[in-house]
Amino acid sequence: MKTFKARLLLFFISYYVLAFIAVAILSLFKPDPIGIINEFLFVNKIYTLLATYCNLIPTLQVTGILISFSWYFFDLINDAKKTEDYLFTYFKSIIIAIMILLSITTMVQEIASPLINMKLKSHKNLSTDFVDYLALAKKTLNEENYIWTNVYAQKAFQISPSSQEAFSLSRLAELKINELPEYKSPANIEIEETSNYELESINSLLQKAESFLADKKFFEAHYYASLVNDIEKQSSKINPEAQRIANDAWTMLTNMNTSFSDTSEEVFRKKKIGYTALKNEQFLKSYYIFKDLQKTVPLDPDVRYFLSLAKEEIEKSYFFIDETYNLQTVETARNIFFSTKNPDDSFDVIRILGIAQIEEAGKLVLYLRGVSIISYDKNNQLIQSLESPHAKMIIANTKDLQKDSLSFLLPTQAIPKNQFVPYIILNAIDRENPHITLKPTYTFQSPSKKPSTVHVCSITFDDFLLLTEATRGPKEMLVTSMIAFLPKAQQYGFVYDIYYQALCNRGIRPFVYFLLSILAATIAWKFRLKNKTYIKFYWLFFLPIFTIIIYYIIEFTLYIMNTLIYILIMYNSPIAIFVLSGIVLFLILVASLFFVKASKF
Amino acid sequence: MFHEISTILLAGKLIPIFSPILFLHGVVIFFPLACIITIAWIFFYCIRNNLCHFFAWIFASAMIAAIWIIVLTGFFHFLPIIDEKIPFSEEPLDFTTYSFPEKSFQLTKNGIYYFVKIDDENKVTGVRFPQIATVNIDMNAYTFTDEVMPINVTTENMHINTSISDPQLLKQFASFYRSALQKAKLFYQEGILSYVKILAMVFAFLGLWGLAFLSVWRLINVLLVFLGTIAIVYLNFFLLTSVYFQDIKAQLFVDGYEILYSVGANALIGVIGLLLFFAKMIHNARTKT
Repeated sequence: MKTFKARLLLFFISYYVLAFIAVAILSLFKPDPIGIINEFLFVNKIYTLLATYCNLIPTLQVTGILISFSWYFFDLINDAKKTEDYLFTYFKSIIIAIMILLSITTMVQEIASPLINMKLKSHKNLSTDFVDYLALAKKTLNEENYIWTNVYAQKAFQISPSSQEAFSLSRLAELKINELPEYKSPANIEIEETSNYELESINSLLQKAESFLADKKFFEAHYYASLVNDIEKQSSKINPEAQRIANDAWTMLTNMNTSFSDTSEEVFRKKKIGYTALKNEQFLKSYYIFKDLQKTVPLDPDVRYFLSLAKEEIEKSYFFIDETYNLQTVETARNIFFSTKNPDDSFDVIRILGIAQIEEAGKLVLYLRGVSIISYDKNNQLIQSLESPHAKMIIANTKDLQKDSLSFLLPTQAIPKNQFVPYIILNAIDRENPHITLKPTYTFQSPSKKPSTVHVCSITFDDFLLLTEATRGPKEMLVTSMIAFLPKAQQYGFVYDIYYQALCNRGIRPFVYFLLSILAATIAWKFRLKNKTYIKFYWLFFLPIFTIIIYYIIEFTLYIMNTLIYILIMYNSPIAIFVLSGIVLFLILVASLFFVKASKF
Repeated sequence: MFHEISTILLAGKLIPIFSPILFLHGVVIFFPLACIITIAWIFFYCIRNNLCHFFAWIFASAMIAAIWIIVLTGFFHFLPIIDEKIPFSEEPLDFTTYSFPEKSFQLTKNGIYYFVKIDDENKVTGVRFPQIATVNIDMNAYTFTDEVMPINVTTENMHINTSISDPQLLKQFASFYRSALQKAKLFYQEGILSYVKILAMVFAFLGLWGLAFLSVWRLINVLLVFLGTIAIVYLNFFLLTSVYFQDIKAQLFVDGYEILYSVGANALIGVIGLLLFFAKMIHNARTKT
């Protein structure tokens, strides 16, 4: 048994290595791929080589079995005859060899191959992006829209750090931006707001207020006390304690007004405006006031505290433009589309051009590029159609959302409680300058629908991740996510049959390889070397010819199988999988019987 | 043709799963191919059982000759009668009844469509997104209401086009086979002098004996016979049918001589093969004794 196993192992290792070398040599003569920038050219070639080799793996398996078995069957028979139950030993070793090879092939096909294809696709995408970004940067430069020139040039630079052109464009834009008049003068802030905040328990709020009052932090004390008042007002109760703290704090604040120097007075006045804005839920206005104040009094604890408070609040409805600058290279998915059904039978069709994932303070944050959201009511009438070049997606828990004003967006049945849902923030602002904003454009809007700064998708976040995979196409999905996606396909606007068929195609491949391997073993047995013969050198020249022929045989068999699957599914999709597995098992059984019958000693 | 049938299936229209006329038609079309495969199979059988002796040669050669001369001629003789009895109509398929499923995405080359509503007159409401997700697009989505169906299922459904497109080699083989069969039919109708060009291939087939016992590793012999069969059929028909050679042939061959060349070349291959076979046979006989 040792000789057979050792020889087989040696043969397969050398055959796989030789095939890799052959593919590598052939790929040297391939012309450079079109549309790939220099940055990725070398890596792309390596991945193309790997992809070609992965495609060849099943062929290598079947061809290897055909050739090596026909060479070494003589050894196997000799080995097997030494054991008692030699027929069993003989079949066992053949089946084990086939199974080991099959598992290698399947792993390469189902895991390595999709990953390599994804990489190749990303090279292509990034290359086209680079060209596009440069073009956009130049276009915006001509239009004197320097902020966007900078954004685009930065992105091009991120993709290809060796690009001189992108670098110089970015520098130029930066210089121009600093010369802009509006960038220099701080502003009068009049911003409309729609926002929301979370609530804490009344007792903890009151405690906070009291402790701040004791510390002589009157702004904070007033803030928390009036927060309590606001809540109580909703249930038409009055909390005397809160009222008292608020009054005390406010009196102190007004009294302090006179005892300040000029600059402090100015600071104090601004602080008060900012604070009032914060209290009136004009978080954006208060954010810019405190941001401005931070420049004059960077160490003031009040300013810092309220700035962080305001920031926290605006981050629920806005994101900062500069967050999107550095994301292009980490874009993990693109061209995502799906439709979601809301509980009132209205539905949204969503298309996202690209998604970049980033971990931010332990939280997953997704930056979206080119978001279109088209909403229809239950009578298939268009309600709203909006497009936003950039958006930020955070993962919100439905538990938190139900408290605030956005709960109406949430489906009650589709999504159970305590689930994570994608929460898309559509508006972007600048960190310093209130005049630089990025808002979605509404191409259509019915009067009944009001613009919102956020959009909550009525799907769970897990499903959203599945969708990003699904839109890559059924061929590049992993089998596991395909199985998870299949029952949900129709719900999100995908044709069920397409994914069912793709799954069947993928699922049937290992069986087809197994079938062909057994057939190859049968042929190898029939035409085996009769006597103990040394392997002649010229035989090696026939290896490539065998490989090519087997490659086409496999292609042809898979084609027949795919067609069969297609027809079965189109006729009757529920039972297709059973009929199919029946056919395949029958074929394997026949092939095995054929093999057993043929290989009598 | 297969592509068309698949398209109707996608359209949700049922065609009978087994149509006897289609099946018989297939049998008729593939009969000559089956003859060629049988000839190769006879060789494989001889290689498998090491039948490298005179009697096997006589018997197998007689079988091959019988298949190629009697069976194939019989086939061509009965072909017009069969064609008459089994009319095969290639009606253009009707796609007008088809509609896309509502509320689902359709990937086409022009973009990604989402049809919200498709009414009886094939007027559609929906959205179109550009297919390519590059950064350089001015317009993202285009919504339309009650417009004429913008895409055509037969030509533009990328699903059909990608998932069941015929392999390239198969397409080439199909077109070659079709033209070869047409030519053979034509030769048969032209009379015995033309048809001899087809019959002459039997000499070349018999020449495959030379390849059948060449190597100790019999898999190589199988491969050589397999490739040899393909080469004989392909070269014969390539030279007989190819348009590129028409001009050269017109200059080289005077009418009637074409047959001579065809028979001569095939016979030459046959003789060389046979010599090889006999040499091998004698060599085997000597080493045994």
